[in-house]
Amino acid sequence: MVGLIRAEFRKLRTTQVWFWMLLLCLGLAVLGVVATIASQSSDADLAQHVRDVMVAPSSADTYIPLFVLGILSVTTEYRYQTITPTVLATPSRWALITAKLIAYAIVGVLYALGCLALQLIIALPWLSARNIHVSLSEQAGALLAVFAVLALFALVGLGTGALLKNQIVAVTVGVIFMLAITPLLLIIPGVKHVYPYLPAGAVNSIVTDPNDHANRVVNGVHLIAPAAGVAVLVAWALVLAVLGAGITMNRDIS
Amino acid sequence: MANVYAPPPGPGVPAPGGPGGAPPGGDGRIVVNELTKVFGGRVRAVDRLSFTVEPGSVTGFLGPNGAGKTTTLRMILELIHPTAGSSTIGGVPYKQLHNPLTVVGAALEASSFHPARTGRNHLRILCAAAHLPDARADEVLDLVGLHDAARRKVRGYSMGMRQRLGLAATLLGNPRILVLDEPANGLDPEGIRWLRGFFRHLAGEGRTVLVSSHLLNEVQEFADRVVILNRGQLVRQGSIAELTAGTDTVQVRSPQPAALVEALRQAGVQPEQPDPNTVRVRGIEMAHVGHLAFTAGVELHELRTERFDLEELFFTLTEGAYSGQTMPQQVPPQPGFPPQGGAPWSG
Repeated sequence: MVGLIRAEFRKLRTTQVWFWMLLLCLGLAVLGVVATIASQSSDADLAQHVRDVMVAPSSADTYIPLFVLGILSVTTEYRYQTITPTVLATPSRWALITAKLIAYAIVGVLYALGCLALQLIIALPWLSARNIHVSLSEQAGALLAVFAVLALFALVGLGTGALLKNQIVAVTVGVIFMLAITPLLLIIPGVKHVYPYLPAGAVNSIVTDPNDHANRVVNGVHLIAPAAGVAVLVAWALVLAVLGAGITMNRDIS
Repeated sequence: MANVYAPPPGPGVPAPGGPGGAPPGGDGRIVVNELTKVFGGRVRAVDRLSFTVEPGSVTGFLGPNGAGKTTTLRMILELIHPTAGSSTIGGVPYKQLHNPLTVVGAALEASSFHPARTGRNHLRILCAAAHLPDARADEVLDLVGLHDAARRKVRGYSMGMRQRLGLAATLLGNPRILVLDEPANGLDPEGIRWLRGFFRHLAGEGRTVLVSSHLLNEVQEFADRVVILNRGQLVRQGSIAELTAGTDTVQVRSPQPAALVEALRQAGVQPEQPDPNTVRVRGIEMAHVGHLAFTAGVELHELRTERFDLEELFFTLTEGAYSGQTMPQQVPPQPGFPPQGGAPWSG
C-alpha cells in the first residue's frame, strides 16, 4: 500500500495540475479574507465579524478547486488512458481507490494547512492594524471547521470522479450540483430537508457558528451539528468511492 | 540526426524472473480457454477462442484489424471481463498474480500516457506501484533507446517513441512474459528493424512473448508459433513450419496438358488443372516434374515452384474479413491450401 500511495503522489506531482489548483485555493482564500474584512466599514463592525474572517476561505468556495483536484485524480486516468498501466500494475480496484483516498486525504490536509496559514498571515496583521485582537484559541473552532471542509473535499471529489469517470461530466455535474442545484433544492418544500446531508449543506453545517442559532436555520431547515457535517462529507466520499470502485471502475477498460 | 535507435539490449540484462527462488507466474504458460466476449449483447468480438502460449516461445497473434486480437489480450490481462471462458497466466488468472508487473509486461496501446508527464516519470510511477527500485526506470529507458528523451514530456514524443516507452514499461519488472499489442504500429522502417532485433533478444533470453499484429511479416521472422484469428474465432495455430509444410506448389504450363497429367498420375501425385493449359501439383519437387515431362515427351512452356509463404496463408485464412461473407467454422486441414490460382501476394 505504501508503494501505491507513493505512486499516487508521483502522479499528482509529475503534472502541473496540483500547482494551479493550489494557486486557485490560495487565491480564493485570500479573496475571501480580503472581501470579508473590506466589507466591514467600521472597526466595531469588523470586531463583530472576526469569525467570518476565519471561515472566509469556505465562504469563498475554496473547497471547489480541491473538489476538482479530487475528481481529476481518477478522471485523468481515464481521459489519458493511464488507467490501463495503473490497473495492470494494481488489478484490485479496491487497493487502487484506497491508495488514492489515503493520498488525497494527505493532499487535502496539506492544501488546507496552506490555505489556513496564508489566511492567518494576511488576516492577523490586518485585524491587528485595525485594533482587533484575535485570540486563536477562541477561533480554534472556526479554523478547525474550515480545515475540515478543505481537507475533506478532495475526497468527495475523488469519489465523484470514481463514480462518473468522465472528466467533463464529473466536473460539470459535481460543481453545478453543489453551487446551483443544492440551493435550488433548498427552496423546494419537503425536499429541502435533505439540504444538510448534501455536500454543500454539510459545509454550511460545519462552518456556521454553532452558537449563532439564527443562522443555523436556513430557509426553515435546521443545519446539523458540525461534527455530523464532517461525518456527512466523509460518508459522501466513501460511498461514492465504494460505488466507483465496485461498479464503474470495475467495468471493461478498452 | 543521431541514430535514435539504441542497439538491442546487451548481456547486462538480468535473466527474467528475478534473482533466486521459483519464478513468479509459474511456468509462464498462457492458457486461453473458450474465451468469448460479446459487446452490447450483439457484437461477438471473440468467440470461444482457445489457444496456448508455450513458455519461452514467441507467439505471433495474427488477424486483420477488428479480428478481436486486442479484446483477447485485454481479457487475458483482465482489463475486459469475458462473457464466457477463462484465461490463466502460469496457472492463475491475472488478478491473482502477486505484483503482476514482475510476471507479465504488457504494452497495449501507444497512447496510455499523460501528455504532460515525462517518459521517465511515467515509468517511476509504475516503479512505485510495483515496489521496484526507481533506477529501473532509467535502465529500461536505456534499453529502448529513449535515454535522451527521458526527461521530455510525452506530448512531444513521436509515435515510435511512444511505442518504445510502452515497451520500456513492459520491461520494468523484468517479467518472464510479455504481451504486446501491435508494437510495430507507427514505427518507421528503422524502428521496425530495431523492434525485430529487440524481439530476437527477448526470445533469446527465454522470455515468453505474445505479440499481436495485423501484418504477418512483422512477426514471421522471429515467431516460433502463430495463432491466427479472424472474426473472433481461431483459424489456425501452430508452428510456422507446421503451417507451411508441404505447401510448395509446382506450376506447369504445357500445350499437352492431358499427357502431362497422365504422367504425373502414374508417378503417384494428383495434379490439378485450374485452366486448360496449366497443371499444378503439390508434394513433388520441380525437378521431378521436369523429368517426368521430359520422359513422357511433353513440351513445357513454364515450369516453376510457387513458394507458399506464411503471408499468403494468412491472407487466405483471413479472407472475407472485409467482405461480410461468413467464414467456415474451421478451415479444412492441409492439403487444400491454397485455393487455386494462388494469391496476388505470392512471388
